Amino acid sequence: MPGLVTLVSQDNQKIEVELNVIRQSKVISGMLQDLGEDEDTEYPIPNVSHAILKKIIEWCEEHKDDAPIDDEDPNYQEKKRTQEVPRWDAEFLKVDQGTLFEIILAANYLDIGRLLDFACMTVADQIRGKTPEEIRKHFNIKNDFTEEEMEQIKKENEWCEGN
Amino acid sequence: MRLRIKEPLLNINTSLEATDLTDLRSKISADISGEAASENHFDLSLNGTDMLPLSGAFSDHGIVAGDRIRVHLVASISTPPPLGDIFSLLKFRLDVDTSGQKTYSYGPIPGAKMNFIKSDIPSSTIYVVNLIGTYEATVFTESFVANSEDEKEKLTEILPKVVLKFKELSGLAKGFLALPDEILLDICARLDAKSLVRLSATCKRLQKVGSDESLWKRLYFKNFTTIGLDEASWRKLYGLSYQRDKSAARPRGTQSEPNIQVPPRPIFPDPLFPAPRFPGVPGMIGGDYDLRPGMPMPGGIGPIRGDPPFAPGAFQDPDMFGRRDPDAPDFPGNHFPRGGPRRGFFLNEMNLELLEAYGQNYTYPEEFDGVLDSTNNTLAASFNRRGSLLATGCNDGRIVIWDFLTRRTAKVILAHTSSICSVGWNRKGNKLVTAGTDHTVAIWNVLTNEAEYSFRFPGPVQSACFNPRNDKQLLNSSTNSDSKPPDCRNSVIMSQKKRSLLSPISDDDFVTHRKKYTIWTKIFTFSLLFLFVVLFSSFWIICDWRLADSFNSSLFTRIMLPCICFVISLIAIICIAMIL
Repeated sequence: MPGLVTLVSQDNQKIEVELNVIRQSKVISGMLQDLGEDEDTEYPIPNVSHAILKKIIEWCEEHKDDAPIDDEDPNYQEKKRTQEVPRWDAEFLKVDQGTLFEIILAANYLDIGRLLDFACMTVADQIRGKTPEEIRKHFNIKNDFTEEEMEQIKKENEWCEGN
Repeated sequence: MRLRIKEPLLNINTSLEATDLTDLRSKISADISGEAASENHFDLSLNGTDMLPLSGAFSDHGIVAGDRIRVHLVASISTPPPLGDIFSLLKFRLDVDTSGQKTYSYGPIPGAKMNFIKSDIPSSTIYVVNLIGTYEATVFTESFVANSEDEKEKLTEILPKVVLKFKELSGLAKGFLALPDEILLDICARLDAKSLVRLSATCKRLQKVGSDESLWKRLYFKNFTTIGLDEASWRKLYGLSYQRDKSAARPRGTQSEPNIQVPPRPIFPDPLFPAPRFPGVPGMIGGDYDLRPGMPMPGGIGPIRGDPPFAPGAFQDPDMFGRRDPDAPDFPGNHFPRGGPRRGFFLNEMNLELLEAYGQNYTYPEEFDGVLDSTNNTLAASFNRRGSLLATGCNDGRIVIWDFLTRRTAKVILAHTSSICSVGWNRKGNKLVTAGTDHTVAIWNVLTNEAEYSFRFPGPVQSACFNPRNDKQLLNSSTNSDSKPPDCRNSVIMSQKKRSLLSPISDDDFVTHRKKYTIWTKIFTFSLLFLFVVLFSSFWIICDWRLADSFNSSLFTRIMLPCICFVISLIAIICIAMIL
């Protein structure tokens, strides 16, 4: 019989999820250890909204059989920066920016290392190959440099722009 | 029996008394209000897994007190859940004004309103739904075409967009800059240099994040291998190196050098000696001396070699050598005590005084180039052929490999159980031979940290080195101790044949060597002897002929002179033979 836990999202919605699915979140598995695995307990996730929590659980279900990762391993640290996002995850993360950032924040809060890695990689992929102006437009970033500062930056970055 | 009922979607979590399943069902349907709850529209299951039939006694299905019954709602086509659910789920509140117009206001953002307008298309079942969102002075619309069946589905798709739009308009949206610095840094760490520079040029916050030294340090070591000693920032360094490489029309980055992975230290986790921060050690093989031939190679490495008046191992106080604070930030400008290791100067001056007292007048280099921070006493040191790496052997049996260009520890190999007397590189620079006081000589693969071979000797080995022309040969010299077994030679040449283990050249080898050696000596000696005999006899003939005729010399000169010549040449031959 699979154990079930109830998570309560930011907007007070309840979500039931299998224990072995949500164990990928180190925060929740830590909570389970601290509070005991009683099914009556409701675990509040105050920083994550219902829709995002559902997304996260969807991801966890897909990845529930994956081997746990070793965050301390320096090899992994390097590998995660160069790895490619698997196809399923790439599809999963094909969402609008707001959702993607919310997933990043939620994965960060819940400490789901691999999801965070994939999501960060997705963002990095979006940045790669764009000019500063394109990046600003893509992410709706306001240019808060003055004219002089812009000149300075341009001068500093000369080495990489001309080819 | 008292049972607990659970249905998260309907927010039902109650306990109730029931006599059998039929009774339970009727009670649940009374509990679930309104249209969704007719008997056919929900299933019951025990603990979420075993489906329960419509009727029967509890005991028939193994239900005992305290069990949890779950209610699964089965959506009925005839009665779809009301649309209001979706709106309330997304925190829209319905207000109907006097004229009958429906306005939904979005709860979390005051002032965000949405009008929901359905317009029928004549003579068809489909209709157009317009959602008109208003926030302050901004109005936007979303619309979709639906029929009564898929309306809800489409609405659930479109409503989050409206919510997001509201959030964007009100500035509540989670934009890129809403991410905390640590995550931005994580994203930046996945970018290449060019993208990183461009990202940093977008706004102030990203400039700050993108200038993080750790990022540039990593990128630098990924693509370059040399280091300018005076640069204070990894970012500037990267830029400079990039330009330098471009002007030299020589893409160093493509000449990828083996990325040495430093595995976690297997034994002795030593807090004094943290593992190197980067997995990759640049410039391990094929250093960049050729790139910067003018780079200063300091004559003295300070205290590592030990100063003449002290015996190695006599340094008990590590602070004597002006070790810097180990907590000092990890920063390129920090490693080089340029312009002032005062203690080092002081030490040299002090030594000079001491030496003068012994009547020894050493000259010392005027400029102190730098100190390598070794946590242990170093007894042996050796540069690789290119001078990019320095291997030092410590008294605790570790080999520390320094990237001499950055003056940082590139890696540490746990080599011997006691102190290392000698370290030597092979010509290629991928192997190290070490000799330790633990009577062993070992060959280390620098890339993998593994010992390829190790041999135990009957006595401590003082020195070991590779044959510079042949990796397969080693020369070891052991101590000349009295207790050594008779077969322990002072120097042992060891050679590795093909893929077999390296082994000392056997006695047979030595004999054959000696045989060859003696034969050649003999040939040489006899040829010399022959030469001298020829010379002597010719001289005799000349003497005999010239002296007899010209000088009419005595019998003494006629006999003694040749005799003296003969004796001299004999002595010469004997001498040569002995020397050989």
